[in-house]
Amino acid sequence: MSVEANKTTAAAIVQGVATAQLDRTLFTNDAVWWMLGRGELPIDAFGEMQRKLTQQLLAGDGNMVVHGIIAEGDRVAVEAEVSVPLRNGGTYHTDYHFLFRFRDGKVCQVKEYYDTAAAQQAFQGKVPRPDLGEK
Amino acid sequence: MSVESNKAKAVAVLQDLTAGRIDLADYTEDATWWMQSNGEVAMSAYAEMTAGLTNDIVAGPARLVVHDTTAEGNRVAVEAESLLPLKDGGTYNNHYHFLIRFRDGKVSQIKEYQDTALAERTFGKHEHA
Repeated sequence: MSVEANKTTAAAIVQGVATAQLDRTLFTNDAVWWMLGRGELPIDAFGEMQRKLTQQLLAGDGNMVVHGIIAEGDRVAVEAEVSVPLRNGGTYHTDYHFLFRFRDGKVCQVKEYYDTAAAQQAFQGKVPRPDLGEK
Repeated sequence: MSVESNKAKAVAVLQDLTAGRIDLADYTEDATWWMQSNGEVAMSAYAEMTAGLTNDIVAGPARLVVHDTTAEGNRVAVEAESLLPLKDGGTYNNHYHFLIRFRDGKVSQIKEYQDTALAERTFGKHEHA
């Protein structure tokens, strides 16, 4: 896969973040999603957590604005910002700098850098815990 | 300037910033520094701001461990971690994904994406490392 194709895939995944749409076919089977301050989750556990967070805390789709995308080798970096309406009447706004790693045309790792202080203020520790299938 | 020399320069400038050094010759005259929640300031103002920073939290020099750099055109993204010994015996370990813009071989903008919640817990609001 070309660097340009990787950029298109990365941009599609970033847009999906605003609407909690995770297209599983864009990821390798062993893909992981790392969030700043929270650590790494298998992609399916991340998707589940994202769905729960959306249902429990968000009042609608977010508005994602992508500012820039650069790529080199198997990596794509995406700068973006999102505003999302919250169920408590507020708005969550954060700036992102994602780093995607690709393998065989699919994403094998996402690193999500965001404004953790803004997230803490918006979600007040109510972010659902991921279900990792453990007791 | 080539993408490769931009990458080398980006890493060198970040290592300098971590060590508390800012050589304004590395930057364009209108260069800015930006951080989430904090907004954008002139690089010269940033230099003054950080020069005036004294605190009783930090116990020794910081180290920046640079992971991957991703570059294209006039931009370089740098994935890095800081390791900073604290007086309480702990280590400040933040994760960064910088975006550095170049113009005519000089840095025109640094955008610093980092764990702002960790920075606030460690240093209080509106400071960083």
